[in-house]
Formats: sequence, C-alpha cells, structure tokens
Amino acid sequence: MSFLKCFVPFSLCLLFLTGCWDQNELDELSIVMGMGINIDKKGDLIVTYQVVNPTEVAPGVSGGGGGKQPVFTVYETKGKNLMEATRKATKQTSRRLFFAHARMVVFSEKLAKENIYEALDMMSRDPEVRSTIQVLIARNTTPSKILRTFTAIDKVTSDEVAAILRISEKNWGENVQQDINEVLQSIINEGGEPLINGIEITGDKDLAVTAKNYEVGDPARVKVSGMGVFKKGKLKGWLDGPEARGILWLRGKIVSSVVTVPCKGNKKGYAIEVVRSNTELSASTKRDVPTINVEVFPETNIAETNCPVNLEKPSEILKIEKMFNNVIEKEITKTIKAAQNFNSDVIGFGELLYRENPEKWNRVYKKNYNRIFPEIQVKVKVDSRIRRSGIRTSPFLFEKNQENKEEVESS
Amino acid sequence: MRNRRKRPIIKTHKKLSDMIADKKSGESSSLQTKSVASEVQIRAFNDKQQPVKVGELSPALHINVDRIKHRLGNPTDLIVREFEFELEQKVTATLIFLEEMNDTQLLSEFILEPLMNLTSEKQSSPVPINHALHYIKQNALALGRVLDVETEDELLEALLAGLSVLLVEGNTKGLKMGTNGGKMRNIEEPTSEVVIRGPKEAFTESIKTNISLIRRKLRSPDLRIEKFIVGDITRTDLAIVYMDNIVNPLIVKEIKERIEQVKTDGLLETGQLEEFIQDETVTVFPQLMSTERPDVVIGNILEGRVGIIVNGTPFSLIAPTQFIQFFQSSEDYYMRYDISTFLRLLRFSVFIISLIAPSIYIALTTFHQAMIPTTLLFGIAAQREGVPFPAIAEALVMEITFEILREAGIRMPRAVGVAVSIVGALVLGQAAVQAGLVSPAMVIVVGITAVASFAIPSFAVATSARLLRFPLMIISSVFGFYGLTLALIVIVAHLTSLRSFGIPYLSPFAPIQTQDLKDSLFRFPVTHLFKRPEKLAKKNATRTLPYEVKKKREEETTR
Repeated sequence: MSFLKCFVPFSLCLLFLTGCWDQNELDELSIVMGMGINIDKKGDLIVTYQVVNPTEVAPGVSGGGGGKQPVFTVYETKGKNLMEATRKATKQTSRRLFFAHARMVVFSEKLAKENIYEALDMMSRDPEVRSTIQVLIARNTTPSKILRTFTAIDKVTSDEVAAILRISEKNWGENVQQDINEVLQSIINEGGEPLINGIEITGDKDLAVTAKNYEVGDPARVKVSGMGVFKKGKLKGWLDGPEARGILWLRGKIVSSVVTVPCKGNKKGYAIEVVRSNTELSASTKRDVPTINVEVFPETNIAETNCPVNLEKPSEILKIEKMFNNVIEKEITKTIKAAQNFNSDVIGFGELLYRENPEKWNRVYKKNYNRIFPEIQVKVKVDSRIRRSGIRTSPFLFEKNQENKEEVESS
Repeated sequence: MRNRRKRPIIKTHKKLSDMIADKKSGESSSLQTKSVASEVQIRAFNDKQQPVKVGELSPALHINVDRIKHRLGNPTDLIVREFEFELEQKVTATLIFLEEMNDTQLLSEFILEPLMNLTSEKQSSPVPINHALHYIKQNALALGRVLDVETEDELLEALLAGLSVLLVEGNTKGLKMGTNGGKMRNIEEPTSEVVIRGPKEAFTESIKTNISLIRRKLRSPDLRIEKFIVGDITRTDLAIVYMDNIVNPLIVKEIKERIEQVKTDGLLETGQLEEFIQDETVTVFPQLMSTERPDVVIGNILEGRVGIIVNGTPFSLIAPTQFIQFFQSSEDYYMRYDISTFLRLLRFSVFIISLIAPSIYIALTTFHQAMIPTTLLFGIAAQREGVPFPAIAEALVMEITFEILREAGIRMPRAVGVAVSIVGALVLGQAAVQAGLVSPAMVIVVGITAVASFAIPSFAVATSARLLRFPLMIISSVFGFYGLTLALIVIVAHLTSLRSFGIPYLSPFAPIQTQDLKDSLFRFPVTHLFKRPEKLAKKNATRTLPYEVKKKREEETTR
C-alpha cells in the first residue's frame, strides 16, 4: 500500500513534468527539403534553406483563398559554421527548421575548391539529418540559385534533383547517387577520395527563379552534369560524359545504359543497351607498383542498328560484341587516366589494394600512395554478351539491300 | 491491502446495518418476525389437535394452505384449487400453484382429470387415507416429474420455481409436480454472434431450454450437468456442463468451489457471476468467455472446458478461457482452414489497430515526423495547418465524440437511431473538418479505429482495446513511440501474468505449447488437429485420429 502511495504520484509526475522535450506539432515545423552551402569573401558560410509550403504541395488541399503562394520559400543566413547559421535562421522563420526530410545539400564550387570536410561534419553528426541526403556541387552557379529554381514536374527543386539522380543513374549511368554516407565512406576508405555530382541550371537563368518558370513550355531546368573529383577535400576537376560512366563501370554500378558502337565507318552504328553488368577487380601486389586487373562482364541487347548487317548470323553478333568491348575498354582506360592525372583515387583502388594485401598496404603503399597511384598499371578486359535484339533480328536496311541484290541478280 | 479491510468505513457500515436490524425488530414489521409470529399462532392452534414441528407439513389441509398463503402474502397469482376424489372414502385434496408459471392445460388434463375420475371400484384393495399420496403418485398422476415434498420451505421453493404442489388431507407430505409452463421466448437466431455458415440457434433465457439445446447435440453419457442455486433472494438456477471423461477434474473442483462461495442477493446475468469467479479483478481483459451459441459451448466442452449456464440470460460462460479464444469464431471451424487462418490473422491485426492506431498517429505527427514518407508528410502538414489543437487534443476529441455516438446509437430507441447516425456522420466527418477543428487525417484514423473495433468477434475484448486506447494515446503524446512501446510491453507483461482458473491466459504462446499452436492464430486442417489442448484435457488428449482414406486411394491409384 505504502509502495503504491509513493508510486502513483511519482508516475503521474513522470507523465506530465518530463517528456515532451522533443515534441513538435506538425504545424510548428518548417520542412527543409534542400540546403545550399556557399562561402563568402570573409570565409563565413552562407547557408540557404529551401522550405516547403505544404499547403501548396499537398494533393487535394486548397490553400485558404487569396491567390497562389509559391511552393517553397528560401531562407539564407550567414555563420561561422553550419550550426551557427542554422540557428541564426530562426531570426527569419516562424517555425523550427526540420531537416529529416532534406533531400539534397548543394555546395558551391568555391567552397568545394577550398574545403568541404568542415561542412560535412555537422550533417553527419546531427541525428535529424538523414544519411541518405544527396550531396551535390553547384557548377557554374551558386547553391542559392539552384535552390531558388522553380522546377516543372516535381514542384520542389530538391525533390526533382534527387529523382533525377536516381533515374539517371539507373538509365544512363553517368552519375552515381552520392549520399552523405557514401561520401564519408569514400573519404574514410584507404587512399580514397570522394566523387560528387555536379548540378547546373540550363535555359534562361533569370526566369528560373520566378514562378513564371512554371508557365513557359521550355522552362529553365536543373541538370545533373558531371562528377567532381576531389583531392584532400578540395575540388580538383570534373569528369564528364563517358569518363564519368567509366567510374560506374569500374565500381560495378551500371544498372542500365546505352553505348554507341560504330560500324563500317558509320559513327552512329549500333546502340547497345546494357541490361546488367558485373565488374571484378583484382590486384597483384608483388611489385612496388601494383597492377590491377579489371574485368567487366556486361549483358546487352541490340537496341538500334543503323547499318545493313545480317544479325541472323552469329558471327556478326560476335563482331559487334568485340567492337562493344573495345569501346568500353577505351572508356574505362580513359577514366582511369583522368583519375590518375588528378592523382585522386576516386575509383577505390586503395581500398582494393588494402583488402588484397593489408600488410603490404600499411608497410609500403600507404605512405607513397600519392606517388604510386598515378603509376598503377591497369589491365582492362571487357567480356560482353549480346542476348537479344528486340523484336526483330536483321534491320530492315539489311532486308532492303537483300531485295535489291536479288532484283539485280534476277534481272 | 490488508490494512484496507481494517478501515473504519466497513465498521460503520456494519453498525449501520445493525442499527437498521435493531430498528426493524423493534417495529416488528419485518417479514421474518411476522412469520415467526404467525408460527406461534399456528402452534397454539395445533396444540389442541396434535403436535406438529415448526416448518413441517400438517395433516390438516387448511392449516397448510393458510400458512402458505400467509408466507407468500396471499398474492393474486396463487391459485388454491380444492377438490375431492374417491378412494376408500372421499378425500379432500388441494392443488396449489402460481398461475402464470404453470401450464394450466397440463394441470387439468394430467392431474385434476385423472384424480377426479378415481373411483373405489378400480381399486383391488381399499387404500387408507394416509397412503393416498403414494397411491395416486403410482396410479393417477400421468406426469414425468413428481416428487415428494416434506417441509414447508421445500413446498414454497417448489411453488416459486414454477412447480405445482398437491396436498392431500391427512398426509404429512405433499407432491410437487413439474408442470412448468407460461410464456417464454422462443429459440431465435443469435444476435451478438452472427455467422454465415453454421447453426443458427441461440440460447434463450430458460436454463431448461439451454440444457436441452446442449443435450441434443451432445449425446454422450459422459456429459455432466450439475445444478447450483445462487442468490439468496433470486434463487437463480445455475448449471455447469462438462465432459466427465475429458475435463481436468481439478478445474471442475475449482469452479464448483468458486460458485459455491458466491454469496449475494441476486444473480441476473452471467456478467455478475463472471465478476465473482474471475481470477483477477483489476484488469481490462475478460477472463471468461461468454457466448449465446450452443455450438460454441459444445465445442469448448469437447476441448475440456466447462460451460456455465445461468437461468434468465441467454449468455453462458466458458471457463477457463485463453486470450486467443476471443479472436476465434465458431465459424472458423465450419469454413475451410485457409480462409479461417486468414481471418484469424486479420482479426488479431484488427485488434492491434483498434488498440494503437490513434496512438501511432499522435506519435508520428508529434515526435517522429522523420518516419512519415515525405509526400504524406506534406499532406498531413497541410491538413494540420490551421488546426488550433495539438494532435493529442484533436485525437481525444474525436475518439470521445465517437464513443458518445456509439453509446447513443446503442441506447437510443430505434426510431431516433437514424437521426443520431446522420448527425454523427456530419459531426465526425464533414463539419468538424470544415470548421477546422480536426484534420481530415484524424477522421480517417478514428474511422479505421472504429471499424477495426467492430471487426473483433468478441465484444468483451473489443471493449478492453477501447479502454486501453486512451491511456496509450496520452502516453504516446508524451513519450512518442518510446512510451508506446513501453506501454505495450507492460500490457503484454500483464497479459502474461493473468490466469484463468489456473491456466495461463496467453497459452499456447506463453508458455508455448506446440501442439496447441495448430489451432491458435492459425487453424490447421481439421484432419490434422489430433490433440485437445494440452493443459485442459490431460486425461483424454486424442481428438482426431489420422484420416487414412486419401492415403489408401493414392496407394490404389499408384498401383
């Protein structure tokens, strides 16, 4: 009884005096969808927050009259570091900034060239920011402009960018989704360096930041472009186009892509659709400068043929496979060359060497990796298989030629 | 807890009752003192003729009749029919009964008529008067249930139970005869446990009908029906029903003991009995299952449980009861095993939904916004925009509104019910949202919770979910998922601690009984339910033998 007498009031106190410290009603939160980080001349951080206006985004809920509001608003603050800037933002907002749903963080090129490590720490430390937040670098523009851009399909820019990254990685393969987790992982990896997607604005840049951008048929858009190569936290240069795709081949991350293979002097040649691919890396660490073997096994379809070839013959298919192999081999070699020129191990060779021979890595390679990496010999071998050719075998061009020949013969 | 018993409140209560008793004896107006007084008178009267002990029947008819009339207060429905019949000489007899409780046709056809037609000619040897009772019992009364009555109390009890009593001049005994009748409800379809496939009969208020319903379906000599009388004033008939060769005798003994210990003035429904004999009072979970379906009672008797039937209510109890039984319907055994397994899983998840759905909504929207998918978050945030109350207030208001509507819907006369539902639909749905009192998402949550709580087959366990919902909502509004999880752990721990007549409430899950799991959340095909529940039917565990027909067929065809 006496136990109960003590227990009941105490537990009631527990209910009503403690707790609630992290309670937030939904309408007291500003949902941040994207962050931009720039640096000013004094070295302070300029942080931009893209905050959603849920009434405009939510389906089926009409805003309480009084004309259309923009889908999002942008706050901008300055601070010596990220946390300071974030808290300073409360001077402008009526609600607490809520980061759990942030989709992307954009660094300016300027900041990237100086140092991105500092800005990354807060985001990896804060429990609210998700580790799946995409990291990008604004190319030829500033983060604040990107976050102010009105996009046509997904109304919130950050949403759109995250979706673009995902779709383009799956279908084209010149970008890898780099969330903050992966960026940090590649920094921590032995000898590794991060590789961060670039983003730019195409079209009328002045129009981009106005709501009129919704109303034109050909609006300014955000576009993922290239991947930034880092060295010791500093942006060194960009990998673009096929060079960027080489990274995906090397990492075995190609899900699907299209590769153009020339034929008989026709540059357009064949479009080969990659369906799936497998990459095997192995290293030999006998000598002071290691050699690395890259073997890629893509499975492909013929998606388009612009020359008259008899695809019914297996030998023709084999020829195409060979040409395709060459194209990919060149692509990969070029990528490796580029990385070696930047002297930045964005591919992850260091980690590979460490796994292959941890003892030698610690003893020999680690100290001189700067010197060794550009000299690493890489043997690239591509062994592809063409599985299908769509719903027809030979191209109609070939059949037409056949008919012509037959006509000539018969006449 | 012991201190509580020594509290002065009870003492004053005793004093009060003493005071009342004193007062009454002083006034000499209470029933007891009256009867005592009358007995004194009668004794004085009897002393002249022959000595008769108090409470025993007198051979003088009019004395007995007077005493009965006196004790019952000479009610209008007491019929005293005096008549004569002929044995060795003319004999006066009296038939006493309460009018509306007896079948008058039975009385006239099988008692009055044969008796009045008795003549001395038929008799081989003359019958002396003091043997008259025995003689007419053997020769004249064409009724099944005829028993001797020896004392006045017995006589009264028989009268009140709806029997008729025959007294014969010069005999110190009477006869009570089973001529019960009167208006009674017919056997109808069950109203609270409707099934699509399965027997459509339900228990009625009459214990006799109910026992007959069970007997008809269970023709085993091992069926035991034991009668009790509970309630000092109502003298309610109560029967326990079980299979002697299956049941665990310790459980029967325990149940009997608990029923015998019930000392109360009246027992009108099994719910009252349930509160007396249940193991734990401080809990929201029902520890005895109630049903109005005979097939449910029989199915449970066959598993080694005990049915308790109370006169005056169509609901009978089943003991001991496990938690899982509340999610099983008798229909589960009549439908195919696959669909009944699906339905059982569905009902269980429905229970969980009705228990925690509002709490989850509150926890998500006030603590764990990160867990809501982004697009949905926009939706909910937009709806919450402009709602003045925090989510917990919003949820409480809606839940309580729903409870009010539900209560109103049950208690209202049927004609008003339509109005209630229309107003309810408007209030709960459209208007509350448009007025900006609640968000549409909350309406959905309340709606799902309401529908879910109706989908649980057992009303009793649905009410426990209904009660627990509110504390859970408050806890999750203070502690979020953390608090909700803790509260659920406490609930599970509490469930584990419960026992129903010594059988763990959560069995067969805790403690685990692998054989019984076959018929728990799942239902295996009937051909594979070989054993009865382990703890209940130790004596006679085998229920079904392996079914060999298909095997034989297969062997034949493969040959």
